This record gives sequence, C-alpha cells and structure tokens, in this order.
Amino acid sequence: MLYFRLGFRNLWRNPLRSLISMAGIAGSVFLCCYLANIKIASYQSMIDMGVEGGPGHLVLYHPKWLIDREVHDLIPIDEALKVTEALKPFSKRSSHRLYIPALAQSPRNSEGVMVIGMELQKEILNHPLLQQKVLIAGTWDFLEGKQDALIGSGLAKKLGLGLGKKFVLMVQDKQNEIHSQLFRIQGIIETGLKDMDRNTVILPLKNAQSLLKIKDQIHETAILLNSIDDLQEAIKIAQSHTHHSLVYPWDEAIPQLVTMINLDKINGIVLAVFLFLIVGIGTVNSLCMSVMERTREFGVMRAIGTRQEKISLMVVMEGLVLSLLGIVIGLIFCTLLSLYTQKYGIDLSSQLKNIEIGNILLKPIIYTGWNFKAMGLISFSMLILGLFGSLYPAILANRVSPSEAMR
Amino acid sequence: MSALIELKSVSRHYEQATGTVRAVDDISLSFFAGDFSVLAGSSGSGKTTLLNLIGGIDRPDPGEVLIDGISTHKKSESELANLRLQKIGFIFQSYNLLPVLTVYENVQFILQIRGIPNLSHADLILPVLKRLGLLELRDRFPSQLSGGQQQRVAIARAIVLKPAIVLADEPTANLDSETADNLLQLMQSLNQDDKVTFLFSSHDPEVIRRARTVIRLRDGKVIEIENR
Repeated sequence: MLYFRLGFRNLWRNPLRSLISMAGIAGSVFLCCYLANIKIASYQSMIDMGVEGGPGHLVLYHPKWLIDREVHDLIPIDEALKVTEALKPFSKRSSHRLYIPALAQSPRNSEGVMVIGMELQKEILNHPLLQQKVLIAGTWDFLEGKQDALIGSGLAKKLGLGLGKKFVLMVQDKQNEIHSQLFRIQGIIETGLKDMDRNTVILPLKNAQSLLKIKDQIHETAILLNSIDDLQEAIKIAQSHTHHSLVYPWDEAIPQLVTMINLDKINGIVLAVFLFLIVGIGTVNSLCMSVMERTREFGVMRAIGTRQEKISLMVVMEGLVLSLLGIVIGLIFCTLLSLYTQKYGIDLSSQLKNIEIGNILLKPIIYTGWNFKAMGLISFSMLILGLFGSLYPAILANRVSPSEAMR
Repeated sequence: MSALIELKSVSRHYEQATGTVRAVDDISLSFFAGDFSVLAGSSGSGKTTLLNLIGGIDRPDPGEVLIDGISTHKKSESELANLRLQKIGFIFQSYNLLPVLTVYENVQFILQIRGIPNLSHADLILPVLKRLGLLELRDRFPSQLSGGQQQRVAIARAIVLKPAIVLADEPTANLDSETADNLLQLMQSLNQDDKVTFLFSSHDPEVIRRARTVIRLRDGKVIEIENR
C-alpha cells in the first residue's frame, strides 16, 4: 500500500508532465472504447438491416442455392409454410421470395436485372428498403395485376421509361427455355442503394412465379425471430420440418456481412495498436524523465537498505497508477458520451444522405451501444502497457549506484 | 569486547584525468557498541568516502570491512542492502527524506522495506517520534518542516529499527548553530540513555567537541585518534 501511495504522490511532483501522460492514456482509452461502442451499435444496425431486408435470422434455401444460385434451385412453398407455422411462437414475421436474373428491355434500351418476387402487401410494411418514402412515383396499391411491376429509379432512367410505361422481361425458366413477358411500371422506387436502384425489378410473388413458369415454389423463406436468443432452438425446429431445403442462420446466409464486420474489427484493432504504441512511448518517456530527476533519491533509498527490486516496484507502481488514472478518466468520458449518443445519436444527415455499406443502407445518425468486452479488454491492455512501459524506467532506477548518486 | 565495525587496511582509489586520487588510503580502525565517534577533517580528507565504505554503500579497492563480524567483501548488492537495513542507520547532510511521504510514512518506509507487518508499525514508530518530539508533526510533509525538524525525522528513520550503528554524514552542516546544538544533545542522549552507537563525519567543531573519540583524517589517511 505504501508503494502504491508513493507511486500516486510521486506523479504529482511534476503535475503538468503527469497530466499530459495521463491525458494521452485517457484519450486513447476514450477513443478506442468509444469507437468500440460506435462499432457495436453500427454492426448491430448493419446486421438488423441485413437480416430484415435479406434472409432474416434464419432462412430456408435449396441445398445448392448458396453455392451456385441457379434459378432452378427452388424449394416447395408447402414445406416453407410448415416451417413458418412451426416457428410461429418464436417469429415476428416470415417472407417467401424468388430471385430471377432477367433482361429488361424497352424500346430504347436493355439492361440485365434481378427480378425479386415477393409478397408485396406484406413486405412493404416491414422491408427496410421498401418504406413509404422510397416510392418516388406511383403507388403500392396495385392488386397484384398480372402486368404490375416496381422498378428502381436508376433502371427507369436507363430504360428511358416512366410511370405506366411498359417493358419486357426476358428470362430463362426452369426448363432452360427462354421466354418473355410484358410488364407495366406501377411504381418507381429509390432506396438509396445504387445497385438496387439500377438493376432491380420487384414483382408480386405470383407474377414472378408466372414469369418463371412455376407454381408453389420459391427460392427463399426468410424468418425474422422475436429474439436472436431463440436462434438455435428455432433452427432445430425448422430442421425437423424440412426435407427439400436446408436451414441457415443469418451469418451463413450473408457471409459477406460477417466478413465485412470482421475486417472492420481488424481495422479497429490495428488503429488501437498504433495508438497504444504512441501512448506507450509517451509513458516510457515521462517515467524515464521522472526517474532521472530523482537519481539522488533512489541513491538514498538504496543506501538505507531498499533492495533494487523494491525500487523497481516503486517505479512500476508509478506507471500503473498513471495508467489506472488515465484509464478511469478515459472510461468516464467514454461512458458519458456513449450515454448521450446512445440516446440522441450524432446526426450527420446534413453532411451525408445515406451510408451505404455493401448492400446495406444505414441511416446517417451514429448511435452507440455498449461493448463491455472491448472496454474491458482495452482497459486491461492499457494497464499491461503501463506495466511494460514502466519496466525500462524501473531498470534505470534500480541501476542507480548509491555512492555515485549521493556524491 | 568484539568490534562492531572493523576496517582492515581499507583503501578507495578513484581514477581521474589528473591521475589516481587516494580518497582513503590504507586505513585500519575499529568501532565498538556505545561509541560516539567522529571522523574529522577538512573537505576532501576522505571522511564521507570512509563513511560510505563503513556503511557498505561503497566497496574498498583493497581491504576488508567487517560489520558486526560480517565481511562486506564478497557480498552481492542485494546482500549488502540487506546488511545495511539490518545493521546500519543513516543520517545525511541534506536530510534526504522522501518528499512525498509524511513524517510518519518516512519512518514507516524503513519498516516496510524490512518487511515488518503493518500491524506493528505504529507500536514501533510512535515511541520513536515521541522520543524525538515529532509526534505532533507526524502528518506533515518534509517541505512543511524546518531543517532541524527534518533532521530529527532522519534520525527517527535511522534508529527506528534499533541498528547496531548510526552513520551520520555531516548531520549539522545545513543547520544553524542553535538547531545543531539541540540536535547534538538529542543524539548524545540517545547514545547515553538508549545505547545507540553513533559515528559521525564532520568538520563542525561542536560535533568534534562532543565526540568521545575523534579520528582525524588528512588526504585519506588517519593522522590522529583522540580518545576522551
């Protein structure tokens, strides 16, 4: 305890220097922890958007769908309905979809597109990309007429078509036969996702099935659960009802999102390592100066019988106290700002319209969550850094010769 | 009666650009329990070097120092530190208290490094502080004390573990004559009443006047030993 007290008080012999070192430590702990809190919230937001607009928390696919995504990798809708019925107690909603690569043709132009067949009446209420404000022309209120289609604004521009105009979709059906069908633009959407706006055609599910000349078959059944905690149990139940399809959790269904998050985490770690390195050098410098100013004092300590390792311990204590104070200050600032941004967020909408990451659209408001694991790890690493940073100054201090120091 | 400190042909030479300086040159001396002795001499006579050799802070080039019968000759740094801690108390010219510790903590520091359990610290420290008139000042920091008070704290630190001998290097050099006189009286009474053995290095006439043995040094050699 006396060594700890000694370490604490020694820091205030040169308060400015200690405060600068402490500010460096506090600043990097704050920055790393706050970034970790921003990242965990943005990852969650990305996952939510990816999951809600894509495969849900768990999804049914044909066993080959994730490998080759062939148009004939279909699953029977009866089986999908059985699964969604069995998962009703756990699920918020389910969506059946078809994905058909096609060629869209107008009198002026032609363009490769992805036709998405979906239960529009249900999806427009929930799909994050189909909220009311994305519809820039036309209406949702069409009754699944055989020619009705929604297209992206970029595609409409490319095809040179407007609302109510007709275009042709040419597809290769399940039997590898090519055929085409005429559609009328009932609505134009602008989601903010460039790819989606440029080459997406949305059809009512039945129209899409008719285009592919199939009945009662789909490519995907996405199920959104009430709680992600039920995922494993839901997978087990779903698996017990499937024969022609496989059940995938969200992270296997959208591995690119997982990879993107992991890459971002690695970037964060690299940034933290560089930051910690700079802070570590600062701590070593500060402690070295402090030790060199007290050569005589260490000499006296050794003269009165203090063993070298005890002197080292004293200097290490100074490093640890410095780090501890910096960590606590950094954590306090991080907590306060995180609490604020968790509630109010940082609104960047005046600078950014939307943030597009991969095929996921994020709102330009930064919120924070709580990444306690990262906060703990960052704090612990900084403490270890303080410990290692004080080792060299500690060696310097214990090498002081009492007779020379006192001469 | 066996000697508490014994010096056998002890020398300490320093190499300098101008040649070899013989700070201590072939000195043999013995000090006994209860002594109140002074190494006297002008500046550069070798007093402090000899005191450092006796205290095991420095090592002789040729020669041997025995502290309570234990030779310092082949001791490691750690063993020497331990020996100093157990057998010797130090008082320095510039007090050399730890500025960030209070009076109580400065004395406690010695107990801490000796590994004495915290529970018995107060029992050991408070009587010493009382004896030296420092009880009221125990929570003050060195910067809040006068020179004389600081030197009394240094004495408390030196004697709290009841060492075999207290080595005092010019203990009155930074004090005014009245404070120095009070301090010497205190050390004299510690010597007489509490049987604390003192060895001073000093050129202060008052210290020399009060000492029972005066060892006069010149150019690293003993030129006179006066027993009173």
